[in-house]
Amino acid sequence: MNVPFRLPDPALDEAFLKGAKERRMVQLKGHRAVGGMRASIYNAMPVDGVAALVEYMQDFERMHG
Amino acid sequence: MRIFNFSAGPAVLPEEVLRTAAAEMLDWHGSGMSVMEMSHRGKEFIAIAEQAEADLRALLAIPANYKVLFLQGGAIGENAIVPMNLVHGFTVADYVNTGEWSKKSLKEAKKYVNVNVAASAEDRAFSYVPERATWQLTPGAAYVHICSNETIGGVEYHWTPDTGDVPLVADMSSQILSRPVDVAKYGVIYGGAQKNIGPAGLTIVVVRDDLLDRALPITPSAFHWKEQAAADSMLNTPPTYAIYIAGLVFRWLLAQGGVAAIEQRNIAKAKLLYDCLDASGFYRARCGARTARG
Ligand SMILES: Cc1ncc(COP(=O)(O)O)c(C=O)c1O
Repeated sequence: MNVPFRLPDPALDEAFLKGAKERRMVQLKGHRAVGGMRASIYNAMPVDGVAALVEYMQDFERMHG
Repeated sequence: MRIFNFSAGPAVLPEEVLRTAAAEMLDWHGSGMSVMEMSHRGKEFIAIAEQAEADLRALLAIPANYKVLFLQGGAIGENAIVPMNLVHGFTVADYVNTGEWSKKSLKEAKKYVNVNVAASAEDRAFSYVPERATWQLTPGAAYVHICSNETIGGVEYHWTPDTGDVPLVADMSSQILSRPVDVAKYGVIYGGAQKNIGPAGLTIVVVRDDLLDRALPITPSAFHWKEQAAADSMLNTPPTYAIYIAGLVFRWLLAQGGVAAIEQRNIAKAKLLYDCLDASGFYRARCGARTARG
């Protein structure tokens, strides 16, 4: 239900979160205890929301990878 | 316009539920009142609470010998409330440490009972769930405590540990209602509502009724499971509005086809995301162990 993941460099975290927000996806910052990102995909999160996140992640990787 | 909200909690709620709550905000079912304004002892609210309990029981197939309590205090409150209610006459409680939330639970429990850490995943940065065969359980322990889904680290049990005669206690805050669970294998299931159920403020406790005679005498009445069970969770004022919203979420879940249907959707969502992470040389999933990914 909670999917924590990291970017290759924490310096990219802010750009990732900003870009996500521009695509109307929020609260992806990981818990301060572990850092990185975290996507919580509880019952009320539609499949479309996860699909949108995956699409964004792939675009972000192409730009910064 | 709504947004995709990936918060770990308080978290996204079904839009239909929020629309119903909005439509009923000023006048619930012709009562002329908002649910927020109702006495918890009035017949309107009692009907709301009873329906919520019945729907939760149906969703999780909760056996008749289990009490369902709607309390306050959150899961962190329960970290103290659990030992207070279960250790009278016992000296040790076993805890399995799979991450940040297990650590908090066992640290709090130490105020009330000797804690044995029966297994820990700390050796590999809490990225897996230790196999049952490795657990060093204490014979005659008061209970065995697990966190079935580590909300911070992301590891989840996809199996139910067999703890024999010692009751299994699970913090299911971020897992409850995401899939079917065999309640009969647990002594106690608890969780804060603000992740997968409803608004913050409501704490759900499902407890087998033969465990209600183990409370320390110091246990506060508001958190004394037996006293709360005898009072239908109304020994103090329950979090009425949160119970109402949770009830709407239970109805929504039933309309989705129940937890077996929602599980399929949750599996599909997790797969989408983990497939993306695994295929990428850029992102790295925190949980390496595929079998422990939530
Ligand atoms: C697994 C787990 N346990 C306990 C808590 C703490 O709950 P609360 O803040 O409701 O006390 C949380 C989240 O906040 C959690 O995810």
